Amino acid sequence: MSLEESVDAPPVVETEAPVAEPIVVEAAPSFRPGPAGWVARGLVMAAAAALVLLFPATRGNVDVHIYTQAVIFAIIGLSLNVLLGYTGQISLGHQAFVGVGAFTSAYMVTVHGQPFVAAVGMAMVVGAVQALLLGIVSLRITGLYFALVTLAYGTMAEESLFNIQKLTGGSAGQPAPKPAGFTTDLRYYYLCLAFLAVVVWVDWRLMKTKGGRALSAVRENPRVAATFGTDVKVYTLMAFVVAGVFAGLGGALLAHNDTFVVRDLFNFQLALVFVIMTVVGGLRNRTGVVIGSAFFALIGKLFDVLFENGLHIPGLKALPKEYAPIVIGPMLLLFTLTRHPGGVGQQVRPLQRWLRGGRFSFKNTHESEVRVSDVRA
Amino acid sequence: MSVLEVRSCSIRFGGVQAARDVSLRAGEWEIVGVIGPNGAGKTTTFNIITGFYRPNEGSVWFKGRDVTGLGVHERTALGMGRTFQNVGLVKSATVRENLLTAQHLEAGYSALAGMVGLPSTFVAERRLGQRAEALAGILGLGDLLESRVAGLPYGVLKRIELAAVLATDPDLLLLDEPTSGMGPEEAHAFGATLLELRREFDLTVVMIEHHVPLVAQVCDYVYCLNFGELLAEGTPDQVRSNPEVIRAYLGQEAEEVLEPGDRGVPEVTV
Repeated sequence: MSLEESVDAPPVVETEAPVAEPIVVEAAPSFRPGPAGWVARGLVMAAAAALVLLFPATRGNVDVHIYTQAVIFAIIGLSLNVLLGYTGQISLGHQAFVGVGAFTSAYMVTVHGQPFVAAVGMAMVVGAVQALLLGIVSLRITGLYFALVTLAYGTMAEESLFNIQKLTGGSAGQPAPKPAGFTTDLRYYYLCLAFLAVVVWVDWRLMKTKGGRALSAVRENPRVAATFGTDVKVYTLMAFVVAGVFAGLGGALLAHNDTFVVRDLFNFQLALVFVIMTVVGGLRNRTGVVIGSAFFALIGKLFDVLFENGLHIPGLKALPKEYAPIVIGPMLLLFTLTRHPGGVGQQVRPLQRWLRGGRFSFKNTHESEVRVSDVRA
Repeated sequence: MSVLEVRSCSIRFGGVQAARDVSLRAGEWEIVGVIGPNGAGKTTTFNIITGFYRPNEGSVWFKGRDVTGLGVHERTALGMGRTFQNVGLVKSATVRENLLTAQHLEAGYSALAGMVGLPSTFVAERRLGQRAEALAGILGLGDLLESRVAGLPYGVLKRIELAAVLATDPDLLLLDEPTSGMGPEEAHAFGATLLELRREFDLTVVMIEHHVPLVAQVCDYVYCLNFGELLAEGTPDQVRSNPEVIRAYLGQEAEEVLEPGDRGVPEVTV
């Protein structure tokens, strides 16, 4: 794909005179906040920025490691959002996408002695290639059957790809040292944050330009999309490639965060958490997906803080914190699907509207354009 | 030179012959009407022209080029624009977003450049936005730009769809029942709009239409289909007084009502 396409400039519409009777709609009076309002908005933004940028610096390494994981989960959530949200295709094999990225990067650094940048780049390329293959399948098979294909792909990768001794180091795992200059947990946290910023930027620009509009049209009505000049196949594949690149990046960052990757990490349970965190976060809502994903990465830690000695329910064994996402996830998922199909993204909408300079109101917050039936399964 | 030429196209779906040996042509600047009772194969013919169906036999020529093997989006790129009977819009998006989506091929940058956020794409986006606003203004939709499409009245949707199709910069406009759901007065106003648009945008128009007065008002030439076959063609007056056409619309009994040799054939008002 070339960056610049030479296309004839479209003809400028010369006429100004309407040829049809205009439809007049009375617009609501526009609202602009005063100086104090802007200061308040600035303070809230600054507080959020401080929480993300400064708060981890005050914490110990163990905590920062988990915060980094939250940042990486946000990247993975945005990856899945491209498939689930923008194209409506479900992926139940995302643990394989992420895992292949993780092992590729670790393999490049440890076995081939490549620098971090090259390793991460390779993880993104490999992620793109495997997503492209799955994308080609999705052109033929959609809906529930495609979900089954991704599920099968994930488990197959677990049993085959992740057993390649050279790539994964077998059950012993593959070392993945942190890159030079980012060897402390805190510095690595900032590095991941920078990567997340790039992913958010790309995702934002994607949806603001023709590629994202084409994806929305293809999801909703492929016939209309084609009539508008969109090559439905090419854009479906593009979505898979973008998701694959994000997932590969997320996997690579995850590997170097742990400094050691073991194949047991990438099991089906992880794929479920990925899907749940994306849906609970809110499909097609960047902020929601980031918050939702980070929440599911932090949930174990949260559990630790809340129930320091483990959760003891009389008559039941203590629940280890590893199971927290898998227990709380479905509950939140049920709540999301039945009450707030737009997920966290829908719940933070009043705040978002306010931050953009609107009035703070709960108007229209009970409805969301996300439908449970959006996902073709 | 004819802009569009359908050369004896036939298509079968299983045992159903949806179109048989259908030929039609539209010259530059012409407005061509396609009429026929329900199930006559009008929309099927449109689907063959726009590339949703590949004909079993025959070919479609557009601007002197055989386009039978091209996909829908490739024909859009060549300058075909089409509206749908049940409104072809992205329903969850706003009017502005729809008009931007329709300018997919006019953007002038690649999807990758847009994703990366090259500065030139910001400039291009602003230009697309201005063009969307201009088109909305022309069709009297300026106030609705930020409204979500879902929930707007049907007649307005039809108008938005027309604006969206014009945004694809077509040379040939294929309209599938543009006035369905409109009353006679609205249909008449639409006829005036259509003539104006043809002048403004240099369009050739092929339209499936049921309002006979509108067909008579704007069409240069009319084709009548029945059971997937071409029944009659000619000027609106010729077609409307064709006894075959009347029989197709009103059924066998209509013929018996008419006196033998009756020249005062009733106007078709289906």
